Amino acid sequence: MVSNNEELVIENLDKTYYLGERRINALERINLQVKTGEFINIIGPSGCGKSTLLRCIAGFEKPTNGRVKLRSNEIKGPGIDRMMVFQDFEQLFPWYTVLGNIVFALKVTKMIATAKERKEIAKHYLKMVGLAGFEDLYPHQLSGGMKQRVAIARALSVQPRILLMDEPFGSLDAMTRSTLQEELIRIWKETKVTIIFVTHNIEEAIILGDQIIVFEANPGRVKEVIKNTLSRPRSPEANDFSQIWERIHKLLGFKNRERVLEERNLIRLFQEERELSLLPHL
Amino acid sequence: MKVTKLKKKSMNKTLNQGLFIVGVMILWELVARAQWFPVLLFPSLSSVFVNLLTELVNGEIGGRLLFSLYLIGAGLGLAVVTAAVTATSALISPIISDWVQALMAVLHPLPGIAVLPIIILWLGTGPQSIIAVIWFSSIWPLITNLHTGLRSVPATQMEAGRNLGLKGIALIRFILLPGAFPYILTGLRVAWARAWQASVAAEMVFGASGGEGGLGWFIYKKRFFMEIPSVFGGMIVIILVGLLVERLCFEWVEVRTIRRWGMTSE
Repeated sequence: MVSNNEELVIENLDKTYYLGERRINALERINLQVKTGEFINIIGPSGCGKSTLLRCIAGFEKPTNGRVKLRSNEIKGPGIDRMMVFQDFEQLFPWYTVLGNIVFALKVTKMIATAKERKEIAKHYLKMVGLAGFEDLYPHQLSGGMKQRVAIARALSVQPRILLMDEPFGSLDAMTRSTLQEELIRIWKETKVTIIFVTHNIEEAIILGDQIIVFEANPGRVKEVIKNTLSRPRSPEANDFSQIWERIHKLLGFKNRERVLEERNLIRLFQEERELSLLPHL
Repeated sequence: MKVTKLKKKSMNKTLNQGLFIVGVMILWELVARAQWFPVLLFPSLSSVFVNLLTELVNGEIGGRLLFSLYLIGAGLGLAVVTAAVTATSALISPIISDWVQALMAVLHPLPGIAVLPIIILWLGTGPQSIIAVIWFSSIWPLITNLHTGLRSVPATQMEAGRNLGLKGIALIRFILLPGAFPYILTGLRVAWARAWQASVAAEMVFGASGGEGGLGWFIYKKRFFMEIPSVFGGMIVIILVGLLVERLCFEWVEVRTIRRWGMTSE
């Protein structure tokens, strides 16, 4: 039975790049369904196309074949129903304060009519991410973890249907990372937003997700979908935890070093090409 | 503790520099009074200031200054508009971007004043020629900095903007321009300095039409009549205006923008 609580459907999605003569299948035949309110984790080795998939969902990139549908409407480009939180600490606008970043988001999306209301809503979301009292600081005055909190608050403030998170805690130290994981779960329960979270950290995937989608690289494909029914809050000490951990670890496999390095170079080239191709989007 | 120490240090520096300048001024006065050099060529600083005061009171120097500022304003204003249009087109079309880069590489090394002779032939010896030289001198630092600045905006900030539904002009206005602002400010600073240099240099060649001219013309004319204290007076006014604009305009803006935003490299 096809249930009508399917938030996002990905159908036969391929993404192919050309680097000179070389054809790279970043993603091949991706099929996925995400239910409303689910917390999905995508995990895979470098170069498996997990970020590319997220960027296709965000609408920053177009699939070569297949499509992404949000509540049965095909995605054509970026939109505030799918808000992205990046790994990069530079995603905040440095010329606005913490509060200003969120107020700006509410203003340009014309979500809220009056300045006073915008401020109140911005404060509400800052409080949600534990940053009440930091409204008037500028991004450069914040730590990495605080910047990511602001980015989450800014993304949530426009009330997206889906929060897309591209290794948002990847550049944080272990302590901050685990605090933010706990808070993200609290926020997810509070807002009931659907979350698609990309990571390469097995533990993070198990702690966060209802479903863990394990990718393989070259070509980027779904290797296995793991239902994660561990009761929350989840602790790495639990017995079932290590079972899932072992399973994912095995699925991800080990590769020789040269292969990994080669893939890393390819990713770098993708990213450079992406940055170069950004400007014509104007 | 640390803050007060730092403050003290910078106070000491300012004091030190102030004392040095006062020292040089006193030395100048003493050397001039000793009359080791002909007084006509090396006037005392006091006579320079007395002269300057008279010219300020009778309005001569004020008029010249205003005329200079008018020329610079016109030239620089035109340059800003041209640079904005050029850099924006280069942003939209990679082909134009290549052209702009080629133009910058070829024309940037050419000093503005070098085009003056041909400008005189094309436009005559009026204010329009000086404005053209100022335009040519100040446009390259503006375009270079805009061009680099717009490309320095992190891709994630652009995407964060696009995620909020911004595109085209709105993306430029809300994300690219503020993101490029450190470069824009640098470009304006360099352009302003170049514009001053160009205006003074160009006026020294032919002044401006009908005896009207700016500070460059003032200095040139005073030399012609051997009124050397006024020659120095003109230079002092140029220095003071330069300092004033740097301190009052550029630094004022910098403190309230890129320094507050943490977008300076210092």
